[in-house]
Amino acid sequence: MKKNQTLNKHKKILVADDDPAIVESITLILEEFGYHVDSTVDGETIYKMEKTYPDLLLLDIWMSGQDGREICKYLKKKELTKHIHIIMISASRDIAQSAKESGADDFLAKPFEMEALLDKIDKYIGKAR
Amino acid sequence: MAKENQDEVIVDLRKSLAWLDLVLATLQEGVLTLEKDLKIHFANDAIADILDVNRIFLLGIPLWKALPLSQNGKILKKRDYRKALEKNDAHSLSGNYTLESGEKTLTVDVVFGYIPKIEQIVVVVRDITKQTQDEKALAQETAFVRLQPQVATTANESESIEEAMNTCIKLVCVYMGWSVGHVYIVNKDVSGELVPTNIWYLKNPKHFSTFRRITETVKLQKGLDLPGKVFATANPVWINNVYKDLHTSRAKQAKEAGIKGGIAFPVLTRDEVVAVLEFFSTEIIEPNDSIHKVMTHIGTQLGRVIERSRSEKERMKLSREQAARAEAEAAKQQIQLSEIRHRTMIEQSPLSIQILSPDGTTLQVNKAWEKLWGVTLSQIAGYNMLKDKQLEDLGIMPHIQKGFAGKATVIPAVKYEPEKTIKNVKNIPPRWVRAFIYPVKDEKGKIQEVVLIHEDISKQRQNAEKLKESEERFRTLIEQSTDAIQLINPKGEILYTSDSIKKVLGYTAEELHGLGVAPFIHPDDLTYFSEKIKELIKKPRGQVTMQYRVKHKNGTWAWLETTGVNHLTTPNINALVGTFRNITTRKKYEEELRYQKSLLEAQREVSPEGVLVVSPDGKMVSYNKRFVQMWKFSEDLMAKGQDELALQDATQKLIDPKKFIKRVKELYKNHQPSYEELYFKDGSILDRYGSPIVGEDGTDYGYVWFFQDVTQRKLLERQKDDFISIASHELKTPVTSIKSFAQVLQLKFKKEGNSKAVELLGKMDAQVNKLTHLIGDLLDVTKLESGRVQFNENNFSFDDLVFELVEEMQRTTEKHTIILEGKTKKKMYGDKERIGQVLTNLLSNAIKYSPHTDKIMVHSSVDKGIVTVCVQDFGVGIPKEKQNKVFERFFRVSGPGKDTYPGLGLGLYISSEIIKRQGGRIWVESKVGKGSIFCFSLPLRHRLKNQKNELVEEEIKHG
Repeated sequence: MKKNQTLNKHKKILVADDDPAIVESITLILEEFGYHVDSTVDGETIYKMEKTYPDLLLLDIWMSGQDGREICKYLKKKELTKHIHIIMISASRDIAQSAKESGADDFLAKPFEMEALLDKIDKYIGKAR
Repeated sequence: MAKENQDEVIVDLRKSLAWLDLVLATLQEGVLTLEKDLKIHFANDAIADILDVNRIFLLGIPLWKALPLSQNGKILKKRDYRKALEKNDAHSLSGNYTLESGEKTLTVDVVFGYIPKIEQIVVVVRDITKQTQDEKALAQETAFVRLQPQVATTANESESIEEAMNTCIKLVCVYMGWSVGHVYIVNKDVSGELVPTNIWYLKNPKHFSTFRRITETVKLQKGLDLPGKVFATANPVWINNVYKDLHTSRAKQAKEAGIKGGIAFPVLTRDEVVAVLEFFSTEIIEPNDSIHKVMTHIGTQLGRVIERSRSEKERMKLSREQAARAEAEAAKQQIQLSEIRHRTMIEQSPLSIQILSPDGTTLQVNKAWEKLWGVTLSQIAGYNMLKDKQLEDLGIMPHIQKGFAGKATVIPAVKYEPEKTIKNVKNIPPRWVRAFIYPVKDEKGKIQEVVLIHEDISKQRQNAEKLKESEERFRTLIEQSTDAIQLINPKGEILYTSDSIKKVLGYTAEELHGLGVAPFIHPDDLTYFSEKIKELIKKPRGQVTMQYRVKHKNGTWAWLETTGVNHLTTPNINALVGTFRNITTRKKYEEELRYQKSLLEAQREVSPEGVLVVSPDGKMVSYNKRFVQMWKFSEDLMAKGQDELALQDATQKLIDPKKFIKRVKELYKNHQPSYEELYFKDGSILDRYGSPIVGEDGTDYGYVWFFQDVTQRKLLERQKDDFISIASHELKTPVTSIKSFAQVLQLKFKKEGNSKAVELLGKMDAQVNKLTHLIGDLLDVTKLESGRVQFNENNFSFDDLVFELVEEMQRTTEKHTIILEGKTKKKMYGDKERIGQVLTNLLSNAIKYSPHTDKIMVHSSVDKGIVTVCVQDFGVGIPKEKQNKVFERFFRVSGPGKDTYPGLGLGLYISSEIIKRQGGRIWVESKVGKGSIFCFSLPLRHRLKNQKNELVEEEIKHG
């Protein structure tokens, strides 16, 4: 694993999943690769986000009562947030279409290879440093 | 016997019975049928009338006792019948007989016939007494025609008065059928006295010898005895009471000799009585004009002879020869005159008259004869009666010969077929004729001509024959049928039973005759039976059908079905007529059927399934409670029994009523079995199975529907699917974090250079991947089962997909080399992920099942818009018998020995389901020990069935 030194500030990723273990393990991976990671297990907090917007959102398609696609649609509609890249993650492999329809940039099925996750993030926001 | 035939016979029989009523009522001829032992088995009322007894009393009586027949004084005895029967010739007994019936003496025409099928003899008896009397009168009339010239000739040709008288009385007796003829002459010496002569004609001289002796000893005074009265009155006199009219001395003898009647007439010369001729007969002599005239004529003729004799004596000088010549001439003229007269009479006679030469050829026929036989005299030229084969066959030749031998004879009635005898004539119907034959003799007794008089009795005979036939038919029908007929009186006594009883109950008709019915009936059914009989008796001409048990001769109880008809008031029957049949077998079947039916009903009611049976025209025939419950029909609705209302109610409950009605109509029309699910508005689901009911012979009996309430089952299935779905998703969450943690750890150990830890974590990751795979399979199966697989279709390069996957798979195996061959160079439309899943599965199987070889071949090709990919390994292979099972759910190939390969056995099942849903097919070729080739082919473009978006919703909610 090579580490590109860039002049960019730390790229900021928000991980939103209602399972704390997933949030923690993804956070560990992404931090290992130099991303600045924020996380939440509650979909509501995403709606309340202000000023410090992430560059990319890893969004679980369904978080205890919150429909990820609604969040996605909301963010992609709002002027201030529509620039945020959104990769949806889901345990189901069959919802790629559904994810696209709600405006997500990409989709990733659980469980995933670390490389697959990093490749997709790299595709949208580049490497961390 | 097939049931239809039986029924036909019965219908026929019933018709015949009705017909029999009519026949019996109108039948004028007596009819008897006899068993082989000549006992009377059946008698109708006409015979009872003739015999003046009740019909019932005739049954079982031997014929010779019941019907004492005699012919010419000879009584027909048992041995006569036996003889005829032994020769199988009952018919030979047919003929005219005298029948003593009480006070009356009847002349009867009796016909005997044999009914072959039932081996009975039928006897038809017709009272022809009156007719016979008429016939006799006619016969006399005819005789006189012939007698007169005969007498004239005799008188003229006689040498003496004695000879003339002798010949005359003989002629008269023969013609008239009288037994005794005798001459008295007037005593020339004693005035008013008649002297008996020794001029006699006696039919049986011995028999009348005493009578003759006594007669010859007594001279009669004018006015005394029969001749005396004639002497006194100069007119013919008849007597019918010998005691009253004959003098005592000879009256006794006359009676003893059987003389019943007498007649005497005078011989006159110039109104003077010169002699008296007396005749006696064993029959009563009825006076009539004809006899009077004839006798007067004879008397005159004889008187002329006497006169001539006297004048001859006076004219002694005249030569005897001359005189004779003159007389001969006169006689000849007389004869010629007489000839013309009688020929005219013959010609005009309404009776058919045939005059034959003694050699048997025909001399003359009259118009009536020609009319009767439809031929003329010239047409029968060459015909010889004595050589007529037909007459011989008919058995009447002896009678004819008797006639030709000189004895006037009555020839019994026969059916004569002219066509058989006379050539070149056609369309002459057979004739039933009765004939009288009279020989005409000269004075020396030599036969000169034979006169044959026919009487056409075809009409009467045809009627009799028809009746006989019908009777036979009726009897045959009864006896041949499986039904038996019985006549009983109101007391329950058996009057008559048809022989078919043997087939029904094993008894013979005789055994039952005269017995009571009651002892034969099952004690449990006796009250029922009595009630039914009472009911029947109350209904004249009415009918009652009953079923009860009767003791069979073999001791078992037989079920009988009897139709009783009240003929108590029907003339000639006067009994209850029962037609019965053994229905034991039917009863048994009925019972069995009832049992089966109740069994079926019980099954139907107990069944958890709703059952509805409809007729071919779609009307509800039967249904069980479950059916009503399932469809939630109200009791009121069902009670109305109106199909339209039920259908209306049913369709209102369905989500898609139009489809339902269309489908039902289609199925009724096409007679097809069916299965489908019915969705109700209230959420319930019914499985509906249907099958046409078709008889073995193809008869359409309608349609049967089975309904199964699957609402609960469907719900459970759904819950199960949901559970597996949720469980799988839930499993994926920890697996995801485990995998991520492992990868982070691996990363960290790599940095530290702990290669051992990196290796172990790599293995751990591989196991996590396997677990992920299993969870994925489980989820896929569940989705496939419930039809909730989501296909995401796009255009993609088929070759790229294959290449990528082969590359990817190659990375996971170090041992095997995957060789890719062929290219399609096609873009295809479909679910890239899912198709890839199939190829991955095939590749991983190829690796898994070829642990000891190192080559895997992948070949792709395209033909006519269809791409095919084959994955070949050189591993364990699959036995032939298992090859078609590998695509089934949970199937796993076992290796050599007891080796098994890990996995849920779902991969190929999922693959085949995916390929099917993508419009393609998947197959395998394999040899044990040589390896397998798994292939699938897919259309480049295919139409995907509509997917339900709601299913996707479900997926999302599970995370």
